[in-house]
Amino acid sequence: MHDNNDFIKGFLDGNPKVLRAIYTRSFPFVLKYIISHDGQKKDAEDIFQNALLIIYTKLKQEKINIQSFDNYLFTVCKNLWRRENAKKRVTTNDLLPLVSEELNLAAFYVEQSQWELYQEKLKSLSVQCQEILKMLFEKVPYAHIVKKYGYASQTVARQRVFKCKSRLIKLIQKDKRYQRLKE
Amino acid sequence: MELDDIQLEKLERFLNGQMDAAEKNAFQQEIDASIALQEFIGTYNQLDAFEDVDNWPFSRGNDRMKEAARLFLKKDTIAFASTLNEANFQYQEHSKQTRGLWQRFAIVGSVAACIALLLYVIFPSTPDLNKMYVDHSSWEELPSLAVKGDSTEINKVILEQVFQKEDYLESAAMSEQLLEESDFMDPTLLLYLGVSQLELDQFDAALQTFTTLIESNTLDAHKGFWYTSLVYLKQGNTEAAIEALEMVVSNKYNYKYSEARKMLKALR
Repeated sequence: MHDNNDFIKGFLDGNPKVLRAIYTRSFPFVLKYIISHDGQKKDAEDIFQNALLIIYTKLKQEKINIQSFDNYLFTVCKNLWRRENAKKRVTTNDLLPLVSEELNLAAFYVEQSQWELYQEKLKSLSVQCQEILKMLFEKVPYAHIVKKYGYASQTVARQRVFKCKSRLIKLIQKDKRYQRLKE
Repeated sequence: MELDDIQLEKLERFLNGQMDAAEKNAFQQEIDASIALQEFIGTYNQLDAFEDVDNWPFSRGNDRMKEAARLFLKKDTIAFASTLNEANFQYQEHSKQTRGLWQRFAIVGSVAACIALLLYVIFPSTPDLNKMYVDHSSWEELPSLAVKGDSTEINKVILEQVFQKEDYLESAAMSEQLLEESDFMDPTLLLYLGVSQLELDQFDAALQTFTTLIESNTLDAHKGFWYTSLVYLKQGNTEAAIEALEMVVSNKYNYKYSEARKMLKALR
């Protein structure tokens, strides 16, 4: 098992056996994901390295509960790659200044923490709110949401969506981590 | 400060584009004067960006970010980054060597397969190979697909049940579907797919599946050699079976190392 204290300790200590196990188990999946999302092998290596560095720093700083190291690592890699792709689009328009690698990692560190807070609060909403927001984010047409939940009109569906989002925002803003992470 | 119902109602119409120009201007002034409204809109937009795969909510630089930047300049973090570089180098080198070995095996295997095919045409397969296949094709040893307490894996549980009922056409189709849907190259799914194909006598497909397993760099990759040997045994292809079994015995930690040694003795 990879999610026990010994494994985490071995990771933080840079134990070669543990690092080899991480590479053997997880790198092929990250490589496959990045290549299938417009990346190259070199990108996969950089993303994987940076994700491990982010996790190392988070584990050193915060008491985070990682249930599955492999899954957590894969999620961080996916988010890092999404960010890299989004950055390419933004920098094309010269909206984002070039920054050092430390600042780049630090920015992602904060954004990843915000993403984790958001995911955690999303799960504490009612099942119906979670379903509605999921449909909204998957760009399901309002007409379908109206039909599924028997709302009187699209206006009612939009009101419902707004209420769910407001609840989520309220939950996020009430958490003490929000004050530390906000812009 | 929490927003009241009137502010929320205005926000809803503002964000849903339901305000006319005058109302929008007036509310914009209200937003400019209220930190609570600005924070609500900021978080609202951030949630949208998190959910848009083509987007990402970039931080614009706050105290937390500056604090985090210092973490990445700490001595231990820099030392860890250097350890990671070394681990990456070792892993990539090892992968290259493994790939090279497998490519050589594939060439030798292809030649052996051609010779064996010729022999197969001239001499029918010996009953010993069939017996060997029957003796070793015990699928009870396949790892279970059911993960305790994980209700999201229901399709894998169904696949395992279908496989146990020996409906191999259905289990092959289901494994293929699940592999397509997965972001991960699941070695257990590859095993179920390959064995189903083997049971259906789809030898080329089974060989391809086990090759994918061998090249997958997962902890179970070495099992691919053993199952490759079973394909050749069922085909009655002695030479290719020997080649595959030799790959099994090339590392004593490989799956079925001892069985492969005994079988090689018998086949030679």
